[in-house]
Amino acid sequence: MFVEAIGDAECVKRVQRGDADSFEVLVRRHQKATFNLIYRLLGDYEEAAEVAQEVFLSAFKSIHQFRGDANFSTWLYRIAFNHASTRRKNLQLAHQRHVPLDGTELIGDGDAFADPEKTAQDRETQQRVQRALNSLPKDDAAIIILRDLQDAPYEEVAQMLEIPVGTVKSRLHRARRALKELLAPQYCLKRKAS
Amino acid sequence: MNCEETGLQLSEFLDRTLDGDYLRNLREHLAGCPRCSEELAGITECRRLLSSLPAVEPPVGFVTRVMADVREAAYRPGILERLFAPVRLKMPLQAAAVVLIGVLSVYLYQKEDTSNLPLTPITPEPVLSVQQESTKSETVKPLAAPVNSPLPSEAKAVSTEPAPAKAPSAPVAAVPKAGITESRLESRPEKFKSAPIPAQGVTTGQEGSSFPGDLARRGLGSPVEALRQPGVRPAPFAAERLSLLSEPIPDYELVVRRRPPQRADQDTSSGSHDSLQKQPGGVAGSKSAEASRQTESPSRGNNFPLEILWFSVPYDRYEQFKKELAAQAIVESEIPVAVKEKEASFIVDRPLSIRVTVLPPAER
Repeated sequence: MFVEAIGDAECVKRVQRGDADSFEVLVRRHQKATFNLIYRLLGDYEEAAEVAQEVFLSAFKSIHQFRGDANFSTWLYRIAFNHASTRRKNLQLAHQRHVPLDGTELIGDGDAFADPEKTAQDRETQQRVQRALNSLPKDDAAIIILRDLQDAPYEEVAQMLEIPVGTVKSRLHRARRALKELLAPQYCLKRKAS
Repeated sequence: MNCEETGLQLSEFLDRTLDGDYLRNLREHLAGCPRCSEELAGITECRRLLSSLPAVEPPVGFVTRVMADVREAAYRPGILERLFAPVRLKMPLQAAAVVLIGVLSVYLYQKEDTSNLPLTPITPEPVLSVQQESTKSETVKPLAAPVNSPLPSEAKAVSTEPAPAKAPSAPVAAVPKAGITESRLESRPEKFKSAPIPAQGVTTGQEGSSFPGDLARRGLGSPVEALRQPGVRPAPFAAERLSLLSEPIPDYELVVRRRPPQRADQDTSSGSHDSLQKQPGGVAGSKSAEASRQTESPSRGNNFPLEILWFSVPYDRYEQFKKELAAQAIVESEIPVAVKEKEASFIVDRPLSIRVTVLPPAER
């Protein structure tokens, strides 16, 4: 679209003035990161799709509350994190939380010409990592996803989680150590194999 | 630097946000501490595993679905509109239209009814009957009331009470022996002609003198004045001759013209002006007579309006009635209206209905 060059702030202003079509620019621009954040927090593709749709709709409805103090992406991730946390809690209560089945992980970046054995190993590794993420507390999982998967700055993570930057660092270290403990058998096996 | 202090700095070291003395001290500690080095290696491996997770694509049509929801939310009605959504404005408007049409219909119907009725209550002039003498064999047949006659503007309310005993303006001697019924209706403007008048048993307490077109005071009306005396009672109209939509058809229709008044002093003298009162004979000699009077409208001057009188005269007394009438007024025409169409035997069985149109005196 011709409005792709417009920044988030300008798009937000247009939407706030009543131009609902400008919101599409924001959706296209942030859909992937938002969806991945939700998906990694939930570990379920279908659930993630549903929650992501709710997140964007919720963002549109409450966009008049966005004052521009932070980036739109930070504000959007905050909404996504809240929605995903609620859904994650419901899924845990329903004992429906599970690692996605085959094929889900390879959507988009899958290499159709890769070695099948290596592909199977990668898929298994991904499932283990996802299972480990699902085992972490939601705040720790969110910090790791934002920091290690999406390379979000400490400040942005702090704003999104509404905690100080120092707290983000300590929580990030704690989360990484916890994840290392969860994934130790995985990389120990690999180390032994290598 | 010990291992406890190193732990918090390992993440920053991996994120390359550690600098200065912290970075140098950490490197020195890691070089001499296998435990911290192994932990660093483990965290690095975790990061590598995390980074192996692919970035998934949103489902196909995700943006379309999101924007559909967004547009629906953007054009969603407000709180007030949603509150009144079950009661759409269209329905109350339709209901109001129906109610309005109904109210207007009732209003117009009532208005039309009112316009069709006279403005004042219908008050026919007294219908009086005089008892026939017991020796007479004829019975007074009721006379059809001029049901569609106009009514006087000063007509009083209809009363079922008989006329009060009132001193008649005519002498008692003028009372005919035969029973004569006078039915008198005063005219109103043309617009009220269609109003039906229930004639049966209608009478009024206002009699004679209040009638502006009183024939007795105009020099004509002996049959009428003769009946105005105490003791008379209302005579019913013949139901079979009533017509709700038109005037009754007289047997004879006479047009007479008043004689010009003699002198002013004679007019003002009590009763002396009435030539009929000086003639006790006339129609008073007939066994049965009925008359009704109807003033249509003032035609010439204010003193002598055009009047229509109805008489009921026995068949065998008609000639006598005509003579008496000719003695009091100038008979200008005599038209047998219904007589032409009816058999004589039928006419003999009942009194004749005579319509007398009294014209004002001829101008000199």
